[in-house]
Amino acid sequence: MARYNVELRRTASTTASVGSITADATRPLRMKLYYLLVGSEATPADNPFLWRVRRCTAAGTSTAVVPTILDPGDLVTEQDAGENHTVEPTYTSNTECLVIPLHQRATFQWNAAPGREIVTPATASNGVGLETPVGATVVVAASLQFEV
Amino acid sequence: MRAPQGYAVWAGDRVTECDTFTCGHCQRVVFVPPKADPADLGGLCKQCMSLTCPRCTAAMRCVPFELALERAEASDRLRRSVL
Repeated sequence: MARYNVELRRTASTTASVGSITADATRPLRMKLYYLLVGSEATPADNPFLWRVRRCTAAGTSTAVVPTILDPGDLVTEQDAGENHTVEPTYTSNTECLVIPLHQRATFQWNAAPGREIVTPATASNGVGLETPVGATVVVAASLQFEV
Repeated sequence: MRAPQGYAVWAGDRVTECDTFTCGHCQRVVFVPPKADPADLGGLCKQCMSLTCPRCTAAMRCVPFELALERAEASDRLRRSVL
């Protein structure tokens, strides 16, 4: 399976998502999210953050991000990634996959063992979104790796 | 944790690490700090034999996530065929 990396970045907002990765609308594929790295590149400050990965059924409106191919022998993915949402993805309630309390000065990494990734269905525009429901208005960044 | 299903690292003033497991029903990632009380972490579903998060343990229903994926994809294929 091909593996990709997506870098998401925005000025954090408690009401707007950092980014999302969703299946293509016409050629959806299952995605397995196996790595997540979040943190802030802003001037260190004492602010609490809550990061949340939640399932969504529509991508909303965002700035497109092209996933980076980790193996040059693989093809460009059909998954759609976006950052800096202006219109939120359509989140499904009670589908939080990962909830991370984090200090602004700290970073967080999560690695999944093979077979225990966060999987999204091969359904058009279904995927996951990354939010900061608690946080300060500073620039935050995240790196997500997935395989398709 | 024996046979962890994931690994999490917080790196700030100090580095904190812990194992994680992924709920077999909803795929929520549950953090397993060292010496945690197993009763606080969820349970084991005896039907699908997967570890489950506290919410799915309390729900007392077995819907393995693979089954939920298949249902969602089948529903999408049906809608596409109608359109």
